[in-house]
Amino acid sequence: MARPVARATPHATNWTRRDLETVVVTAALVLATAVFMFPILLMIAVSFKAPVDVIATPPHWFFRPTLDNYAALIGLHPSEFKIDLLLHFRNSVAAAGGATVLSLALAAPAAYAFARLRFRGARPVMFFLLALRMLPPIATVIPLYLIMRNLHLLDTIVGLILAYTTFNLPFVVWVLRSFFLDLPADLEEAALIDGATRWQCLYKVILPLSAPGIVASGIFALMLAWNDFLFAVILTSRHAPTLPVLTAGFITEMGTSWGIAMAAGTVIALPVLFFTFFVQRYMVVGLTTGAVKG
Amino acid sequence: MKRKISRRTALATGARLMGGGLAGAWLGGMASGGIASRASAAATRGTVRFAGTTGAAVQALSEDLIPAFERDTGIHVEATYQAYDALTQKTMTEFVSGSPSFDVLMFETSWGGRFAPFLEDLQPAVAKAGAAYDPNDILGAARKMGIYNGKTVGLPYRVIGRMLHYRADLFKDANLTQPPRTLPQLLDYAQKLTKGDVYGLAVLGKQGFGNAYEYGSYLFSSGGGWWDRKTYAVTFNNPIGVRTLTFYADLHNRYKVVPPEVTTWAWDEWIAGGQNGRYAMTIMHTPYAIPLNDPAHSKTAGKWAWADAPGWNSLQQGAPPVGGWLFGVPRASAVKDLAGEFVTYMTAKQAQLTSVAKANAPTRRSVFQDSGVRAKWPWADVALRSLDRGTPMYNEPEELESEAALMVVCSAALAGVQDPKAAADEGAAKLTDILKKSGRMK
Repeated sequence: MARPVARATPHATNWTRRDLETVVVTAALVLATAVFMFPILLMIAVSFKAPVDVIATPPHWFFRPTLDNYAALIGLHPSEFKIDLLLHFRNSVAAAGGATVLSLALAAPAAYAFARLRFRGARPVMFFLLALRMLPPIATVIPLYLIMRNLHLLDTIVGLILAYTTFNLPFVVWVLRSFFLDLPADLEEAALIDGATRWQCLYKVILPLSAPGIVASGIFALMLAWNDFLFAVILTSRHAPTLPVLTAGFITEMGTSWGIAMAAGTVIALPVLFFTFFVQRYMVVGLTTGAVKG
Repeated sequence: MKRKISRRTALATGARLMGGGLAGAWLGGMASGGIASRASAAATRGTVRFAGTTGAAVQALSEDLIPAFERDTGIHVEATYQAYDALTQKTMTEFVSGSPSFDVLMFETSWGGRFAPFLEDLQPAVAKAGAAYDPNDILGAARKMGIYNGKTVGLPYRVIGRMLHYRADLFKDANLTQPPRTLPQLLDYAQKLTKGDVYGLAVLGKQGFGNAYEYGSYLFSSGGGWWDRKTYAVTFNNPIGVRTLTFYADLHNRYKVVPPEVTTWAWDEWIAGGQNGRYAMTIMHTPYAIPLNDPAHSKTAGKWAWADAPGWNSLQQGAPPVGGWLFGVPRASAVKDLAGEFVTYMTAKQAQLTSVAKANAPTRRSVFQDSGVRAKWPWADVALRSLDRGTPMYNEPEELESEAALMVVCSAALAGVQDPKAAADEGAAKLTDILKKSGRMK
């Protein structure tokens, strides 16, 4: 229970400036959390609403919850949609997970080289990598489509993993390079004196110390791939479509099936939410150490 | 005994699962793809890859018609369903790349001209289908939707007109015995029916693909249009165009007979407004009678009646837009014969009749006249007349760009941020630029 701020009582003197700051900051944080959580809570609430409650004006804040939307999503309740949730889920996990692992595997040595080795063209190449991130994804879709077609990788998970890696890699290289630069070079020099090779320095000294950075960039890479719609819709059709493609399908000419769409949105958000929950400590460390330093 | 799961254990387990999933997905995908391909090749005459939209438009297709087609013809169908935007985006990319991943494409009227260079002329497929196909049974407006420059780029599977949906109970309360026959009369009725939270009329007013065509329900029914279909002279700001846009904007700004929030209404809100009893009348898509009357979704189910969309001067002048979904066959398809067979099967009478059970909007006169359909859909007669009298949507390649330009000025006029005359002039100037750029105008 909050303590009253009473000027007339002696207790009023107990309120220090620090207490007031705490109250104000806490209130601001609660407000900010409420604002940011509102769309998520609304999504979850709508996913439990019957169609009549979904379209109600003014909105029904209190309603009889139903599991019909989730049942429709897994095919246990009739709907006008042909939904294969398992296929889309499996594809999303495989494509996003695969792209994240591949991005980290390729980016770590590259970032290490940029951080520690001096070679001609390092700066232009780094800038070129950054410039790749500036390309609008739509500009790369047709060339990627043609490449995938020629490699017979259209509508495959492998094709999606490669596509996601192309747009994850520059970001991950830049972030990891920042982390590697923060680590003292003395550690590697000591390892080199002890007879370690450059590769051993990377894998036995640098990478274990950079776990927060790897986790942080891995989460961002995972989220970018997990949430992608454009590449998934263009590069896949029957066998490798992902969850965002499934969700978009609930927008139809006869209106949007908000209940099922929100149920799908909730299902899509959960894995990343749980994953982020488990690794949040590393992410916060990652965000506050290397990522903001160039 | 409680066992504590550490963060490290959880992460390691997650990584193993992900790794296992990856390997499983890869191997599973490869195996199932290979087995499915071999099985279908052995058991069927071949495979047709179909790309269509989602929802009610294809429910009958995916659940009933494709299985029946496979059974009847021995042709295997691999179908993909995607939302409208995703489908068009993907289709254009694949056409440009020269190797579409489908043999039959479901596309919306406005895309006809743009897709035409990539699509096969379907007249030979129609001829091959024989007399039983009866192309003359297809409604005129539906047939025209699929023709561009004399080439049949698509056969219609689903056709949508506009008719007046009105609340019979509110008409009775207001002592209105007949639906309005002209647009001025529509305004008069709307004023009489606007009471409290219920407004007399509703329009789709949100800026986006849709609001310009829904404005077409007023413009085309007044004798106006984007441009002259023969000469390509822009008519959007001729006296009829200015008068109609002024009438349309006044519904919101002057007479206040539409809900104030209609400027934020797209299709969903438009339908939901009717389901929630927010308005008494609207000139709306023919198949939307289904969601408005579905008791599971609508609080106003059973209270609606239907009439022809009014014209400016007379009922006969009412000619709102007609559009829909067509099936086309890419020129690059390796199985054009099989694809043609699929298209004619799905657009033939029997398939159209079957599709009615799952809320398709049929394209054939005989289906609307079927006694079962008439019993199921009390609006069948009105819908048929709307389709007969309606104005086919433009399907020139310039159409999408034109609609993007007009949706801005229609929205600005309705919201009251631009004078209707100025909005009509700006729209006409943009159309002129578009038509000059494409070479239609000198």
